[in-house]
Amino acid sequence: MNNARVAIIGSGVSGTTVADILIKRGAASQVVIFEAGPDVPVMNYRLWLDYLTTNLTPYRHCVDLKDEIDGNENLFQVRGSRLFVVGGSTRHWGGWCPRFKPEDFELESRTGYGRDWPISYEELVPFYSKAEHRLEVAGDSSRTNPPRIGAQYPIPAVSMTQKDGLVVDAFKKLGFQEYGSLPIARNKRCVTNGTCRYCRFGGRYEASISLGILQSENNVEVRPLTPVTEIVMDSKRRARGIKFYDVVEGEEKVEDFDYVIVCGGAIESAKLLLRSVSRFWPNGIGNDTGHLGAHLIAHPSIIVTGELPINPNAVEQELDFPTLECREFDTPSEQKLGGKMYFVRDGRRNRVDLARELIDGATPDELEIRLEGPVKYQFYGLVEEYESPVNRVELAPGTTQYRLPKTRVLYKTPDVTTRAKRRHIKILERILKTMGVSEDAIYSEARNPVAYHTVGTCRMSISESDGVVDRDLRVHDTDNIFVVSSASFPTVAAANPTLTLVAIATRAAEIM
Amino acid sequence: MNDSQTDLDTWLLESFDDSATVINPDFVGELSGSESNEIQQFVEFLCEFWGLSIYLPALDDRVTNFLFQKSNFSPSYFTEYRNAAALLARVKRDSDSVDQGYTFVALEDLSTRSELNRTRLGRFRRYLFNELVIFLIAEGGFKRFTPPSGVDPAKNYKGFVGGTFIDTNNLPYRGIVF
Repeated sequence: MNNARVAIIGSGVSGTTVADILIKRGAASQVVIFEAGPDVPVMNYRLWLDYLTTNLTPYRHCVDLKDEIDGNENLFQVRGSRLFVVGGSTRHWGGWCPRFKPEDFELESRTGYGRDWPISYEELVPFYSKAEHRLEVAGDSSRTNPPRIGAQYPIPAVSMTQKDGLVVDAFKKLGFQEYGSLPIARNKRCVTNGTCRYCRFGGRYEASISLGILQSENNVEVRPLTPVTEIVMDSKRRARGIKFYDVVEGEEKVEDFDYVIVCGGAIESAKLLLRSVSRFWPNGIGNDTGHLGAHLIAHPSIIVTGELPINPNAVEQELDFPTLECREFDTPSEQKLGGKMYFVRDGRRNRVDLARELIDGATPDELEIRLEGPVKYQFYGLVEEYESPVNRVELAPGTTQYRLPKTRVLYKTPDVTTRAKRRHIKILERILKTMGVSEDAIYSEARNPVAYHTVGTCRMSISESDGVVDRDLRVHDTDNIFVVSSASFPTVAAANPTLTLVAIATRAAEIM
Repeated sequence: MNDSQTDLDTWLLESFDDSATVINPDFVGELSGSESNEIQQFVEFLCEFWGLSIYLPALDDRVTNFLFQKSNFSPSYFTEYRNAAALLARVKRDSDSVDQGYTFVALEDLSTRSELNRTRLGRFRRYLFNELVIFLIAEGGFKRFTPPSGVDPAKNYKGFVGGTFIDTNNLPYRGIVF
């Protein structure tokens, strides 16, 4: 690519990463980013005050509506998990940035489940480091599993809180080695004021902030409320451009581009290719072998909570994000047992909401007693899910509030993953017991997945017979269409996927 | 209880407006000096009552800015705040004492009244009192509720600008190093 005019569909973290790299290396002369959702101001004091006082975010409307999803929301919840807004889901993400581990790229070779990635951890190492710098991740550079090969985090690790202390003591008693400060996209502007879902300082990476800078300094244009309805093909190999809905003129238009880069999430990226039907691609772009929309892999969670009867030091998290991660069960041996687990001690919200209590009539003396009373400790685990042949995303009839086709999701948690969730719950319960929590004060919940972290629907493969895009994220048998999305992950791993997404986006954009 | 107090209670709990959101959200404006003073005086009462005052430096400026932000930008609370200021003025006038009047409008347990949100007092509590309490606690009032003596006090709370976590020698929360 050289001096090209590029269309990017989706304004989240991958679209922003690709736009930035292509413009800065001169590969693109102009980038137009199409976003189906609206623009919502960032770092606005009034909007922040509203969030503080009402707990309502200004982007709360930018979600799927109830009748826009055709699927069993009890088994796989899409609503609320993703945002249609400039900046995409980075507007509400937690910013957790663990790397995947080397074995995550070799699932099939190691277990017989799923597929290996056509790219290895070792190949991604330099791009992981670039991703950590792009997202301004705070982390502990001295930890070596997964290997960092000398790479330093750009921001020092966030110190754990006193509330983590009791958990760390239990880890030590149990002989755990793989725990520490959670790598998290909190930068030097973070003033820890506990309102991360709408930060008035830009203290957490948000793509919309980066896009604002990109637009002001470069030939990058973001078009909110402009849903792309189709990729228009000139031939089997070449896209001519895109068809989109022009809100101002109230009609669909076609605009020519040299390259089309799909940067939606795993659901919308697959849907765009599925609806781009032509005589060249009768089943949708990249779908001659039937893999498009298939291989949907979710990221189920487990929550285990325990209560201690007293909290003599009145410890609270005091931050709006967790600070302690554990990768003791994010290992090759757990992978062989049917799925790994990555977990944190969750506790973003303070248990005693002082303001709410005062509003409800509590006195200061009553509050002090409550602060020293029963205290909850909660673990939030993410469990690696293996692929199921029935799980997929499809187009549903009708259009959404953002003029995109509605979504059909077919999903059932694989049995092997259900067993893995049970196994990991017992591990987390054991930690609580080691902390002194009595068995009858422990509550465990194996949650069905929510759509964030979904992968696989446009999976990477060496050959077009086994996937949708190649190792450089180009759609097989095309010259100028890419899918830079978690949709291209062949497997999900246990850890959060965003850092890995930015790593593969960086790699792809540097070689496009 | 005198007659004017009885009339006041009736007036406060009269059905007033059914709107699910603020009244006239597009009507922006700036409170007059007397309206602003009515609310400031009420805030000072609350802070004194809960012992928050010493934790809230430059409180007047912060509350003034809070009211300005909520009144001058959409969805505007301007109409709600003017109504609230008028309510506070009448409470002062018709109560046996100012403190007694403020205590009733802010702290009287009215949770059994299911229709409270539709009354003058319900709207006052929802759009002024409740939000001001959250704001006051976030601005530093949480420090009032500290652990027992000899233990590190809480340093941070939702909404409080604690400071950077990068300065590990002066963490803005109670942290550990290991």
